[in-house]
Order: sequence, then structure tokens, then C-alpha cells
Amino acid sequence: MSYYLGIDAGSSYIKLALVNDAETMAFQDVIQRGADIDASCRACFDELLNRCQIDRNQIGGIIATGYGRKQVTFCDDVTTEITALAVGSYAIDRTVRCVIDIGGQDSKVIVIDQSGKVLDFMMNHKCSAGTGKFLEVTSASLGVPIEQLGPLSQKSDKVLKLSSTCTVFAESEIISCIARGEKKEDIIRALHRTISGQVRGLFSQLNSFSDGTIAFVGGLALNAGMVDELSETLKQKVFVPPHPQFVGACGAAIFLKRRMETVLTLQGI
Amino acid sequence: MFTEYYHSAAQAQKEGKPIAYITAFTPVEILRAMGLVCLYPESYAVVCAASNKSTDMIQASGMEAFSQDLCSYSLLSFGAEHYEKLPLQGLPQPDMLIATNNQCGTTMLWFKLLAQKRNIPLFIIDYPAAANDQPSLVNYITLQYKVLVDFVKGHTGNDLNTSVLSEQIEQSKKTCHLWKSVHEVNKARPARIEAHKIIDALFPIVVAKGTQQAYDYYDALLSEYSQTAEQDTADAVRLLWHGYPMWFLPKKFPHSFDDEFHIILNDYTLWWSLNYPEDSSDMEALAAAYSDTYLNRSIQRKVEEVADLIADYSIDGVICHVNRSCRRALADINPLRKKLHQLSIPSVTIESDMANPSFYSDEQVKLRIESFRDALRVL
Amino acid sequence: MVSQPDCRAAYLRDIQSKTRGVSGYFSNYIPEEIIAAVGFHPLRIIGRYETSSHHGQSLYTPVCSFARDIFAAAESGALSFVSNVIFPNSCDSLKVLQQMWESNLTLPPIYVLLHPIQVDDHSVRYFAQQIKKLADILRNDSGLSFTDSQLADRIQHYNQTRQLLRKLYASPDGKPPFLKGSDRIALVTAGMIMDRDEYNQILQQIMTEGLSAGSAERQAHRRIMVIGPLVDNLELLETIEQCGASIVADDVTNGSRYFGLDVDLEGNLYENMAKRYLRSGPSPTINSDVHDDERFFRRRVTDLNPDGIIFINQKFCEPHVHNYLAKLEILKQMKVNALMLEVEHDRAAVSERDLLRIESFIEMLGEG
Repeated sequence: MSYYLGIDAGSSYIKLALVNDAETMAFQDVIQRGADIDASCRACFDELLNRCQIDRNQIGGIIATGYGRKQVTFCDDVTTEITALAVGSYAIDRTVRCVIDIGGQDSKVIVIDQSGKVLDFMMNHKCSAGTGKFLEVTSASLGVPIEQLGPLSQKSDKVLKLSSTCTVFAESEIISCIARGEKKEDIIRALHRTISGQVRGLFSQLNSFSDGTIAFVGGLALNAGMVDELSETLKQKVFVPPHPQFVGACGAAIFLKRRMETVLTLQGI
Repeated sequence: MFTEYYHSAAQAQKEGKPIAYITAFTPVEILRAMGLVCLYPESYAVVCAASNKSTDMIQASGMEAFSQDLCSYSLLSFGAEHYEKLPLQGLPQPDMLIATNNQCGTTMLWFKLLAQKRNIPLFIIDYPAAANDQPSLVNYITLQYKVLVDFVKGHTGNDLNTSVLSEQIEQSKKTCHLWKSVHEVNKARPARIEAHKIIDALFPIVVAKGTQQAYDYYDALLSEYSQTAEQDTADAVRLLWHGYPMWFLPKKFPHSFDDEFHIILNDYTLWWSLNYPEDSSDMEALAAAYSDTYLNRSIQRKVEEVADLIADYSIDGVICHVNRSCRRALADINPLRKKLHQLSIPSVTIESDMANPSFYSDEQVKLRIESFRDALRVL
Repeated sequence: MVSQPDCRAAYLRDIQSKTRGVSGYFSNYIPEEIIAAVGFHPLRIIGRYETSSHHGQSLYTPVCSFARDIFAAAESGALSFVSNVIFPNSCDSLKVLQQMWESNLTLPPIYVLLHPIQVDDHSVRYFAQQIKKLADILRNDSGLSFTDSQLADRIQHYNQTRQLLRKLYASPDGKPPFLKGSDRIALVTAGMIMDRDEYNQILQQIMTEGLSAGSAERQAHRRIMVIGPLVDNLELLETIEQCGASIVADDVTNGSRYFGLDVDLEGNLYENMAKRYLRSGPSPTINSDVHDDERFFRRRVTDLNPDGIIFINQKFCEPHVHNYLAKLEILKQMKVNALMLEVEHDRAAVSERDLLRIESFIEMLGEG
């Protein structure tokens, strides 16, 4: 059995995914991004091979994506997250026509056609509003750990409006909300709605998407409350694939596999 | 008058009267004298902001991602096309657009985009800013007015009624003068009326200054204010709010001002008191008046005018609204504060937006105002 | 090369010693010929000077990054070598810059050329009057003068520049230009700084050498058009090319919008200059007919047939954001892909976010 390794070197976390010949994810791992991305990736890769008892010779190719992709020196190729996310989402579900990824520092909306080809994409301008960073900073001021945000927000029964989309201003606004006696679950739900609103703003600049499945990927897709708010804002239930945080790494690996196979085919091998 | 204005606009559309969207300082006298019903999208944006619809309407515009780049009035205007629960059922569709650049360059850009999106004829009047050569400026502008008349006639078939034009201008002169007098009740110490109440009366001078109705309204208001009891004590701190109000706040200014500190003057409302020269032809008078709007003046003149207001109204402190939607108004702030420092008048800046509450932080503003109050108390 | 910011200071010091002085200006609507006729060296103020971070802080955030950068340069004294500065009557950010300059800085003195924002016969006449006024002011303040024939001579030199640049940009015999897009823009930028005679000689030389060279356009590369205000970040343009694109055309201030038409030498020179400057093509800061603009743009895009269009906007540049929104609608109808990059004028490097956008965009076009 041979495998292809996809490394998604993101701004906060590095995700590794080993994809097999059937283009499904066989193994995966995630580590926090250190100062030396290359060293972190190598160490994680070695550990993954060891844990899964895979020989290095079984690795057909290594590809990196994400912001730190060019710092990974031991890979055979690189690709952008846009391509990686598109390939990864489409490989999981061929009805996907739009991919939303809310990362640590940016948000992306990607439109793909019926063959999985990228038709258009949009990323957030200027600041961290509408990204994972927004939630990280604001949830810290609430004293709620990231993993509890989803379940807590689902208990909300009040529509609270936050007017600030700026991360810094939102922090001040949250303090005011707490002082007013607003419940944490309502505040968190309002934060989710703010992020969804920013994503909707990106959506509205793309008119190549008309209908089809909308996939929500990335780490924030594990937040059930965020999933609910995004679905409500977009007026369509979003699809969260299994292991959403690895879609980029998987997609990159699949992309490399196909590219290498195409090269071999052209060479008559 | 407010509700009547918007109902009559809807009625005009039903009757097939030609409707124009115009910017705040367009020479409306010419257009009314040609039978146009003139509507102000900026004014309507104010209505939307005051109705707490800003956030939703800006989202509806589809241009939310550009909210830091675009004027919030324009965002609200674009949002109105896609928003269902509009105040007063929204504005009827225009037959033409007429914009000017005597308040900012933004309105020209906004109306151009609107013209392209909705395929509506557009006319722009160019008022070069802070021009020194008055004769050639007036000549250039009056020539543009002639082309404007041809443009309107071409789209409506209506001629310019010169007697109505003269009446409108005469009425505008008187109404502007009266509007100024309304403010002047506060020159007395103690002041008689809070500035936010004067702002509440802004509407007629913006949308109807050439009409008898606007004049009668302010005449009655002046009588009422003149008889109003003093609102504060002789020792109360008198404040000037420089620049745009914050339309999404109930009292248009942060609520942190109360008994000790009164905002008795907002110079923004005086921007509508245009100076129509005497002894000029109608077109020349309009050219002179509309090229000399506050935002079209040199920085030195603007600063001197505010300094004069401070002296005339016995102002103790100034709050400068740094309105991120209006770049042209931003140029005033630092030169003005320099001047205030020379005059030993304390001042503070508050950064926000006139119509988009997402740029307003209550906590940040409170902190600045508290510090400002402390500085004023020391005096 | 003068297009690189580091080389400019030394070059300009040399120029200063050989002329009456350097006259700084903004905007493609300021007639350089008038400045040159008086004996000053016209210098387009482009920016990216070395200034410390505390300069420029008095300009509030929504003012565009170009205006902020220039104000920081002026505050820090980096522009103290210019004898005067001429401002246009254009966007609000430049108006703010002008007013802040007037109230905060004593030197250099500034003049304002009130060019109209309309394009019609009245505007041309008004503009001609304003250009004449500017000429009189420059003459009075400098104590220097010029005759009509001296002015005509200067106009001829600038016309020569325009003709040479048009040839450099054109596709002779249908073949793609021999200079790559980033080099063409760098060349135009150099022309905004250099001595006119020296520049024209260099252009002639490049033309002669270039005609025998092959096309700069690579077969496998995506064909891109770049649109924006002044783009002085050559690294950004080179990055676009290195990612697999050929910049086959541009609509930027220091590109094709610089050379437009010639000034007619017959008749009233001031009116001819006014005509030329106002009618050189649509611009986001000038009010031309919306439908004419749309037709012009559609025709240009149809003729060029690019794979995609990249808008390079300055942060908080109002005219170009509106331009982008207007053009985006048209491009969606024409099914041409577009990407918008938002850059800060004083940042030379290409950010990771912009690199990702560029790479993804070109990758996306490549799958076609």
C-alpha cells in the first residue's frame, strides 16, 4: 500500500494527512505550529510513520499547503489552500459546489464546478474580524475554553446583537454585555453570528455560486454552534465532512497523487 | 412634515412626476423650478440609521466587506435595494441622479456606481474646492447649470420656470437666515435648548429649504425656543460638538453628557445655512452659495469659523467627531485642535462613524469623555 | 535604475544641481510641460521614503495609505529638496493631504491646480484658464519666464515621450510587446522622475534594441491585465509574473494612463493641454459618461481577451474601490475572473496573504 502525505502548515496548527491509493484519509495528526515549521513537520511526520508502522518507502510523495508551505523543505511539491480545500471537499462529496474555511487568520469561500474545478474564491480583507482569531480573543475575555463554545452557544435562547465587527471593539462590547447581565451562551451565539455575517459578506461578492452543497471545513467546523449560525445566516444547512480540519491536508495529498499519476501516464508508465 | 415629505414622494411616483435623487448640496432650486421631485438618499440613510437598521441594511448591501472603505450613507443606500423592512416603505425609484462634489468626492463616486448598477441617467456638477478666482469659478459653474437645465429638459420635457426659480432662491435665503437664528437662541447664557433638539429640527432645511413650509416651521420653532426656559444654570459647561452627529444614538451624541455638561451647539447643522449673495443673478447666486459649502472651503477658513462660533456662543470645550465615513471632514480635526489649544479651549476626539454603529465602541468613548470631563472640571 | 526607490535620491540631487529646482506634483492631470517650461524639473511624488513610524500619525486611518506615506515623508523632511509642490483637484485623500500640508508644514510651498472633474467644452476652457494661472504663479514665484515657443518646445519633448511609450506598449504586427509588464510599468515610473531629454534617449535605445528581441509573453503563462492607481511596488508585479502570469496590459496611473494622447501644437497651447489632459481616457477620479466608460472597458477587455484581471488597490483608496465594484459587475457579465489585492503603499514586500491570493488566482486560471 502506498500513501501520499499532505501537510497543511497553517497559521496556528500543522495538520498532516496520509491518503491511500483509494484517495481516502488513512491516518492523520495535528500539532501546534512551532517557531521552526520545517522541524515541526519533520518530527510530526516521523512520529506518524512510527505510530502507524509505515515505512518511508511507502510514501509516494509529500506536498505542503497552507501559509507555511514554502518553509517545508522536505516536500516534493506545494499547492495553495484554495486548490487543496477544493480538491479535498469535492473528493468527499461530489455535490459540493462551495467550500467555506474559517481559519486562524483568514476566511475563505471557494466556488467549484461540477468537476471540482475552482471557479472563484474570496478571502477576507483587512482584519481578523470573521476569523478564528476573532473568536479566540473574544472567548478569552469570556473565560470560556474554545472547545466549550459550541455546546454552550447551543443553549442560547436569545438573539443578542453585537454591533462591533472589530475584534478589539468587540472585546469592549462583551465586557459591557457581561456587566448588563447577558448570559455567556447568548454572547457566544452573537459572536458566532458576527463571524457568519462576515462570511456572508464574502459570499455576496461571488455570484458564480447558485446552488449545491456548501461544505464547512477547518477547525472551526468542529464548533456545532458555529455550524448552526452559519447555516442560519446562509439560509442553507452547511455540510461538515468528517475530520473537517484535515480537508486541506487530504486535498493536497490527493492533488499530488493525481498529478504524479498524470505525469506517469504521459511518460507511458 | 417628515412623514408628509415621504408620503408625497410616494404619491408623486404614482402620479408619474419625474423624480431625482440628489446629493445634500445640489442646487435644488433649479430642479424644483423644472418640476422635479427631489429626494435625498443621504437624508434617507439618516432615517435608516436612526431607526436602528444600519447593521442589517449594510449586510443586505452585499458590500459589507468594504464598510471600512465606503461611506456608510452609500452602503445604506445600496442596502435599501435588498432590504425588506425599510422605514417609511423606502424611497421611490428615481428617473435621474444629480450629484455634486461640494461636500465630498464620495458622493460623485457613489452616484456613478448607482447610475451604472441601475442604468439611471446621471449629471454631476463640479464645484472646485477652495477656489480663489471667484469670477472664473462662478462662470464655470453657471455654464454647468445651463447644461443641467438642458439635461433635465431632455429627460422630462420641462422648461425652467424662472419666476419659480427666483422665488425659491429668495425663500432659501430667508430660511437659511432663520435657521441660523434658531441656533442663536443659545448664544445667551444660560442656553435655552440642547443641540440634539436642534438636530431633530434639521430635516426641513435639508430637504425643503426653498419652500414656505420650511420657513414657517422654523419661524414657529424660533418663537418656541425664544420663550423656552433656560435649560441649565449659568455655570453649566457649554460644549460644541464639531462634525457629524451619530445618527444611531437616541440623542445623536454619546449619552455621557448630562446636568453639568451641555452640548449647546453642533456646527454640522449650521453647514446648511448657505450664503446666497445679494446683487447677483439667480444662477450666479446659486453658483456662489453652493460652491461655498463648509466642506468645500479652505482649512484656514473652516478653522476660523469654528473659532468664531466658540467666541460667539461662549463655548467652554469642543468634542470633535472623527467620522470615518467622511474623509474631507477629517482634514479639519488636527488644525482645529491646534487652534483650540492656542485659545486654551479643551477638546477631545471621538472616533466613530455617522451611521455605522460597528465603528462605535461605548467603552472607548466613555473613557475619553470621562477624561474630558475631568479636564473641564479643572477649569 | 530610477524606478527603484533607493536610486532616486542620488539621481534627484544631481538633477537639482543642474536645474532651477525640483517641482513636485501629484496626479496625471498636472501638465508637466508647464513646470518644465518655467525651468523646474517636474517630479512625480511617488513615495516610499525612509521615515520613522511616528511620522504621518496625524492623518486618520481612512485616508489612503499613499497620502499617509507622503505626509510622513514631508513631515520627516524627506521632501525638503523640492522647491514647490503642486496638488490636483482630485480625490478626498489628496485633499486631506493638501490641507494637512498647508496647516502643518511651512516648506515647501504648495499650489493647487483646480482641474475640472468633467470632460466637456466648458471644462476644457475652465481648465485652460487654471493652467494659465498656474503658469503665471510659477513664473512670478520663481522669477523665471518662458515664451510660447519655449512652451511648444517642451510640449514636443513630452509628446515624444508619449509616442515612444505608446510604441513600447503596442503590439507591432500583432506580436506581443518585447518588454514584460512589470518592466513596462517600471519604465513609465522612471519617466515620472527622470530628465525628459535623457529619458527620451533611453526610450529610443530600448525601442531599437527591443524590436529585434523576442516577445516577453510566455506561451504557458496566464494573460493578466492589471488595474489600479499608482503601483510603485515592482516586487508585487514581479511576483505576479513569477507565479505564472504575463502582465499583457495595464490600466494603472504609472502605466498606460500616463501617456494617453499628445498635446496638439497648433492653436492655443493652454487649451490644447487642457484638452489633452482631460480627454486622455477614463479615470476613477474624473466624471465621464458612465455608459461610455462601460463601453470603453468592455471593448478593451474583449480586444485584449485576458485570462484574468488583477486590481491592485491602495488601502482606503475610495475612487479605486468604487472603480473595482463597477468593473467587477461588468467582468462578471463578461465571465472574466478578477482578483482584488489591497496593498499599503509604503510596504515594499509582498505579504503572505497577497502571495496566497495571487498564486491561487493564477492556479485557478490555469485549470481552464
